Amino acid sequence: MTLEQLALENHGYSYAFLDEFAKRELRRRILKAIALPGYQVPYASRELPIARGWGTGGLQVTLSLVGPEDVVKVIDQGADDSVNAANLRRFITRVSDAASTTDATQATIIQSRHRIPEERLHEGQVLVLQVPDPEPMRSVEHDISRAREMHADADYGLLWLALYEQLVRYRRVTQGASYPVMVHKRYVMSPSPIPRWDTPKLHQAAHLTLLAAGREKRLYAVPPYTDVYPLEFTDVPFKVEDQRGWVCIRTGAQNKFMNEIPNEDGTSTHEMSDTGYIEKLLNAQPGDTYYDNNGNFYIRGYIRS
Amino acid sequence: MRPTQTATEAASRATFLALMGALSRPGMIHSLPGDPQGDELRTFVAIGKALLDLETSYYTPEALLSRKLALTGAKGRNPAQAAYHFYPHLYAEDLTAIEQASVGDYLYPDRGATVMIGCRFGERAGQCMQLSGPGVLNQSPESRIQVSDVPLEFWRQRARRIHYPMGFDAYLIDGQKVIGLPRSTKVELEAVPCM
Amino acid sequence: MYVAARGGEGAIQNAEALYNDLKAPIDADVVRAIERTMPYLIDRVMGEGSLYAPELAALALAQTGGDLYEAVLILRAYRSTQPRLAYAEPVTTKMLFTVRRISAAFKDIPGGQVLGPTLDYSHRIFQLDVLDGKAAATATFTPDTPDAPEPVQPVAPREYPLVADWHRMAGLMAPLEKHADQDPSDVPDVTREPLLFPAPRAERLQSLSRADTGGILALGYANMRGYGAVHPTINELRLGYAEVQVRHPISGDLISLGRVRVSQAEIVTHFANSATGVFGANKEKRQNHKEELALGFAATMGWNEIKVIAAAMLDKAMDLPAPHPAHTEEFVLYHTDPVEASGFCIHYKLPHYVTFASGMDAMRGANQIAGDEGKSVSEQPEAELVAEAQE
Repeated sequence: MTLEQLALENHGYSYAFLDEFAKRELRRRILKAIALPGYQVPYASRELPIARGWGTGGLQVTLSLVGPEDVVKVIDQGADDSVNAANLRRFITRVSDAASTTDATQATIIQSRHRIPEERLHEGQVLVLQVPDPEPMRSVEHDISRAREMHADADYGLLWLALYEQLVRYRRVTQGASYPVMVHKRYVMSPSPIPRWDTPKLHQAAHLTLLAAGREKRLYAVPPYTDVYPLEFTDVPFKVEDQRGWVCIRTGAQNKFMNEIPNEDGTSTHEMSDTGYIEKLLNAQPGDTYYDNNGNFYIRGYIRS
Repeated sequence: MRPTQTATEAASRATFLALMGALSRPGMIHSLPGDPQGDELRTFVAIGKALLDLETSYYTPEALLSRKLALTGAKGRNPAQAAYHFYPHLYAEDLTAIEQASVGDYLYPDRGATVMIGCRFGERAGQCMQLSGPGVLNQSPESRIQVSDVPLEFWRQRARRIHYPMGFDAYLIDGQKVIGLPRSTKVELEAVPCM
Repeated sequence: MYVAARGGEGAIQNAEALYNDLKAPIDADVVRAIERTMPYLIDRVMGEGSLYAPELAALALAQTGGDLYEAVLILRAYRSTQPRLAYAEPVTTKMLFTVRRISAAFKDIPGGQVLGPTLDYSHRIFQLDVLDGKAAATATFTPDTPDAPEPVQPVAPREYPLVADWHRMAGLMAPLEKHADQDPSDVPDVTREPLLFPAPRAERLQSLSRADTGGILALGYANMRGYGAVHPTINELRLGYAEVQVRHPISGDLISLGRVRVSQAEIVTHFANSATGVFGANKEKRQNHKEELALGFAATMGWNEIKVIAAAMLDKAMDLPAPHPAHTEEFVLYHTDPVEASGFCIHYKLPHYVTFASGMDAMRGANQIAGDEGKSVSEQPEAELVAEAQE
């Protein structure tokens, strides 16, 4: 090795922005997270030049993984071209020289806020989910030290009780997004605020999912082929959002997660939330999806309702 | 201005990606970067460079490796305190060190140690093992591994020390090849060879 | 339509261009002027940014149009990219080159009260002459080269004794615990590890040091007004310069990297051990025990008087048993980080239509059930549902 190989022009900032100490720390924590599916690993969480709470946890994970040969997809609410997604993608590609794509099946790393793509991800892909609040028990226990003890004891009684109270009060579970899940029969985990439609996609998935909260300084993982079950009562099965009959105005597709767009006359128009999938439907042959055109999930029997 | 990776940064990242892949898919062999003709400590040194710095600690019974790992800035510690253990060869007497390796606690199981073990894969004389748990696809070829040069007692010790979620995570290393065994993987010893 | 903000890259670049049109362009002179004329602002940004770099702090302020939270974020983000090359030698209070130290506990103190630079006794009236183009005589304050008033003594003392040392000599305060020399890499560090509770005191003081000035003031003030049982007196407030020394990696010699402005406050409170309940149910200890003064402490990079006073009170108040949220360690430290609090506040500007839709679905579903049964949700009787938990 020569001195020239070692020395670089001074660019002001390191490759992929974070210095090597920060990357090593993240990488050590990511490995522990994979060894403990669903367990929240505390990490230092460096500040990034993006506002805290705008995906800096996911961004730190992406920056610790990304290399020049990577192909990155960034989505927010399912869309590649929403301003926040565009901004994060611009930052990642600027500091790493990685390529970008809107095609979920072509990406090596997918960083997402609030959605998992409709097309089935494959082995070797990494899905990075941005997490605002990693603690699934926040609504029943705001003290994080106490919540950690409850995780240690696998004491999830309060969460079950909260679901039961919803049933008693409203005759159905009213939890919207961020539906709590049990991972590898041990830790209850917040899957980040993905809609319930996306929750089953984490179960026995072929890809690795890394979830990171920058502000709250916790990261966690769902390795490939890991059991992930929503908390559900035997006689009150978990339900995904009921969008039956909603038709995408751009593609005519049904049984994919839709945005509802209000019309002036009080009615609504519907459009698929996954813009990368819309593009593929319009221009190419899309890959297999988690839900077929009739709304059946690909793992039969997993969704019981 | 194009962001540029140094050779060191690129090697660290490639090593980490191999470890991450290995840990995500226990039993599946992943390849570590580097020169396959290098000395026998090379992969352990490369892993040290990828994971260690002055904010963490290591233990190894090998004096030469210890000197090389010290260059990362990491603190050499006794087996009970070290976050990363390196055993280029695992001898029976090293099992007392592994016995002391941290398994974390119920509040912070992530404080459990990481153990790197040199061994051989796929040799006829090896011990056949059936793996199950997160990342292991049932009935897949990689769910059965054949490993030699690891004392049989290690596997019993591992089973005894791991009370999931507490436990230690292991990487088996044969030259450039690595297999990850997170604590979540259940290992069953088979009476007959895999092949 | 909000979704039209999906202009992607073009939209965000235009938005930044519009911001740049809003203000006059900046150059090196503007940055210098900010650095020289606004030392307290610079110090506040450096303290919260936890990076001592006056020039970069000035640039951050210039670049962000003076948005404090944005300026702090730029410093913190830059800090993330800087490797840790060495640990500096510890600095003790005695070693500070002190320019201001006051104690409210005594009329006079060993070494004397030193008023130093302060606006405390200035009349808060405009120097309107400045607007008329006349230079105000008093408007040239530069902390690094103070216009020395008539000196009391020809040479300022190199060190001032600590007021707390007098308390200790007089037996009013517990002696300092002797600490063995600590490996600097073993000092807990909030920039390298996440904050966990109960936090080591080092991490508590570090968090207070880089906390949001306004947030610390609000919670500190809540304590002062009566939500805390701490009745504090300022034992000693200091502004000074600390010399940053490191060991040369080869020769091992101590070398100076320069001086940084620092501020620190100590507050004392009476009957400290009873107030903090450190003896709990241990009656015997309580009976044999002598009442003592207890210290609360805070220090920051840069001169931030209000923040160190409020933070020192919070430091003491956080030891109270059964605390009010205004002085619970987790509550105080988690909610006063400027970058985290401001970032989360503005993240609500991001689209949330997926989560909103998911919530709408649940609400429509609940209304549908209620409608089917001819009742609105709020009129539902408590249903007798028995559910079994399943693994």
